[in-house]
Amino acid sequence: MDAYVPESSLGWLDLDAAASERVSTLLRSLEEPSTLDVLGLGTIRDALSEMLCPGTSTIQTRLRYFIFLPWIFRRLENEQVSPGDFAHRLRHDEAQLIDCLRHLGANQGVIGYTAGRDLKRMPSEIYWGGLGAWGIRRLDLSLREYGKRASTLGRTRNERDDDGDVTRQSVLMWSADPPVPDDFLQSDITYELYPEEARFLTDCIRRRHPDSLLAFLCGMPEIANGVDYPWDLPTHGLPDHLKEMLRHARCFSELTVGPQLVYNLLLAQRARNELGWDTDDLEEDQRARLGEWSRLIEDQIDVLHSWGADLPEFWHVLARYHIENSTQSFVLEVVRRAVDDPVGFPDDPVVHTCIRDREIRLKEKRARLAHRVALENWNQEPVGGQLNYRWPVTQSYLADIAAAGLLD
Amino acid sequence: MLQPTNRLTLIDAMRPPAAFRLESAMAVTFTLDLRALLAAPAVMALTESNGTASDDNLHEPIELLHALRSHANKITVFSQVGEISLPPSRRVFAFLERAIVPVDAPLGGIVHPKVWVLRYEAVREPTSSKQPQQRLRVLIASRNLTFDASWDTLVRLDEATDAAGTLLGSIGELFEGLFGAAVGSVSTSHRDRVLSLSAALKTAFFALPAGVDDLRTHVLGLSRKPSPLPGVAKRSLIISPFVSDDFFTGVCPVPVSELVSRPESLELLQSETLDKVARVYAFDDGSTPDVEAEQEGSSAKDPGRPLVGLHAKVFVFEEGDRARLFLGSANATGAAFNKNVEILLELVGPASVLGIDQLCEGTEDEPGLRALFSLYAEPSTGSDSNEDQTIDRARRLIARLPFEGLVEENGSEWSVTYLSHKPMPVLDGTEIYCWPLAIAGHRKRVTAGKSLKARFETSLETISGFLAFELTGDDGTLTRFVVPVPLFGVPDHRERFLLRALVGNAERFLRYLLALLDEDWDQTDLSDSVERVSDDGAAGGGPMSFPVLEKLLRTMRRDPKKLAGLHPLVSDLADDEALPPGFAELWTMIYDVAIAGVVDR
Repeated sequence: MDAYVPESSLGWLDLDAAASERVSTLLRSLEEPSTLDVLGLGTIRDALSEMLCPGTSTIQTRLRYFIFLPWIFRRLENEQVSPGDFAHRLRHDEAQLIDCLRHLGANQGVIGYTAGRDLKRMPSEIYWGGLGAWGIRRLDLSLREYGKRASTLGRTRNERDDDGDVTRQSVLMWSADPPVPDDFLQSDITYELYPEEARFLTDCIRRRHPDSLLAFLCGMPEIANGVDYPWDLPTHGLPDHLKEMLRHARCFSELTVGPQLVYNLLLAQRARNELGWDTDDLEEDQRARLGEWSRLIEDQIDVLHSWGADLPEFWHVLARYHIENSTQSFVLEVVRRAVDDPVGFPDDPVVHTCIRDREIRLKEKRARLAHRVALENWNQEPVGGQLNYRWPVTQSYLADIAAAGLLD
Repeated sequence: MLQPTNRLTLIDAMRPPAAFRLESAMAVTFTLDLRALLAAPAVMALTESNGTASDDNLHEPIELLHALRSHANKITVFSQVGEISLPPSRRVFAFLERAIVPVDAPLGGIVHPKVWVLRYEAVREPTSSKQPQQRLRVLIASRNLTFDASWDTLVRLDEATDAAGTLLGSIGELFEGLFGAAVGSVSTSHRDRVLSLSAALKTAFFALPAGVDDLRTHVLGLSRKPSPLPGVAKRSLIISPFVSDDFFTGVCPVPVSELVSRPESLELLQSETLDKVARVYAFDDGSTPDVEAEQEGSSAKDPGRPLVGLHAKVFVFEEGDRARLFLGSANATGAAFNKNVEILLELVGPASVLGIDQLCEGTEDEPGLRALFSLYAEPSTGSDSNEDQTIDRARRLIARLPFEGLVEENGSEWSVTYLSHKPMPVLDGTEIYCWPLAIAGHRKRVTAGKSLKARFETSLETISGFLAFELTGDDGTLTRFVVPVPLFGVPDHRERFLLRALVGNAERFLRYLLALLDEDWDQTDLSDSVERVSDDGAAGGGPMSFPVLEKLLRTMRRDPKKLAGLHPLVSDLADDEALPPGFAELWTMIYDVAIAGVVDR
């Protein structure tokens, strides 16, 4: 046994961000998992989001991180930071980035604005996937693996080929553009893109995802401004395959609002009947929204009806995302019922059974509509909302591109 | 010593010495965040035996759950009545119910110290009959048991290896006094723990921090005592987030050279008071006040309001080349020195180590504390007083009521009826709601002027020994807090059911089991073990991976009682079909051997 050594000391008491986060994780994961996707439609939502706006994510707050992060990585490579030091140096540089952005104030998308250097999940982790999706990051390595190899990348190496001649090889993770400014991380910066930066990003997107809506809009980013949903974009000049994609996205988004509202209604009714809770306000609110929804469906009944009648086409479009059969059956059932009778939908017992069975299948013992214990843990907050396929964050990116003043 | 770069975390300071584990602990705090209390047991159980800082990635939630269960009943936490903030609504807090003892200050103020006394015990073989070595540690902070991001101090005192250093018997007296100041009855296990740790404190020597020649402890507020601050000093510095005029007139007549405080507090002082101080500074670290709390309308003294900026309480007095540094919980207010329960440590040593310049001035490489001081200019207009809002007074009145929770079986379910044996206070225009902490969706309106009798139907796992309240004043300010309620009629199997509900599935059960079995030996890479098991399961191969089986067999041999203790949980999970494939059969075989082993001893 090691000898006991007393370590009396005095000092300043730091905030223990790690402990705080550990407790938050504990609280989140021991109890109900996230119920935002109560009806298990997340796979379809994510598939359509990827097709329309690939590489985007609501946690990737601002576009210019796609420029900042490669700059940080390239500097670390140039300094040939050793594998042992990499994580520490990266964290240090990212903390400096936070400091350089902090002058912008709160609620501007500065990742780490409050936590600063104690932030658990730095932008490098958040954007790693997106950097790969847009081809800015060229090698398919995890961040950890990259850290181990960063000191050897970017250097040109002399090798001898079969004839004994020297050839130069280099394995590059990042492109050489745009060049790293000399005073990077030494003074305040903003999220405003320079034109060459905007051009670099739009080139990457178009090269990697030429058929996506995002790539198309890179050419005319200003039209995305002020548009609530991507299907409200002016369709003039929009290629046919994108019009089709948007038709699918819109129909799915509008039709699935109803089932989510009915779920909330069923929860509220069950809580009232079985637990004696006072849920009148919530029920009234959900019914009002269902009224609005049924009017929305009726207004578009022709379009939605023909979409609903041809769901095999929808599954075909999503073929490579392997949507489960049970999800497909569920969608089929609720969509058919919604277009047949949107007004009667909320009170249709077949719809109720469908939704209840769906929750049981997804959550088993934690299904709130079937198990009292699970119901008790409900905080009376309604879940769900109309799917927008990450449109708001996409709009923010396009606004930044538009502001860079590219002439295309 | 107190350079801004010398930073410790409370969790690091609580970590057991190498090859030791927590035997028992007692603590006192003013405000309490139950989440911060959850973090404490975690560090106790999951330390690598070679004492190095553990990789956070290994600490999966299920292992933290295990840590919580095994250590929550080794801890006694005294906390000021009415100052437990409202956490998220989670059943896991049930494990903390018995740890908390609400207290009130005997002289009419508040219970304000922030102290931990921990006793560690050397890890040993279960079969060894030797008494294990024990070591004490005392932590005195200026921060409450919360996750506040404020400037606070921490003093850590470890038991010495020889009879040199300082004695801390008065800390033991503090806790014995708190025990006497408890609101409501206190269990015998708490009493025994406090008495045992206090007795140990009377005879243990504690090593002094480097550079400190002498250390004295001053406990205020359990009985009337004169102020421990010196009557004369050549030079003095007071750092305190809260200040009052009566401190300068009554407690500290010594002319103060420098005073550092928050601007909001300085604004409340009379000009005459400010004139007594040679130089007055406002503390400015650029932190922003909590916008969210303002928007929600939280009351000024709501315990859930996060604290930022200056919170440390430091008094430095220099005479010649010697300095006396006082640190602890007491602010520069009359209340702190006349009616609150407080603690101040007095460290005595050379001014070159403990003096004002050492504290405030920077070096070539690092800026000193003085960089955060800006000369204070009195504003021309007066400011609002610091009077307690009505809603904060109401909170304290309600929290002091004697509550009880009666648990009853109700067919296949349960119910808890919360009673207060005295009437709720009458508060004009204030709305009161209450709910069991674990069931946030189910609130009931409370009638003022009558005793509380609120019945909630619940399942066994959701029975809650914390009652949450929300008070809303007619001006829209609100306060939310939690009160621990002793429960009567709780069935013995309640905790087991709760644990089963939280563990829930096979993968988490395995992690829990591994954590349980790993307690005494070296840490392994738990995520690796579980992954291997999952692979086996998917391939339809053997039920157990090597590490789990090895540990089960080892525990069967060395500590069969531990396996026997797990049996009820395993049976429950087997009934729920939540065990990994093949585990139930394996368990039956191992358990039979383990049981025979227990019987034989």
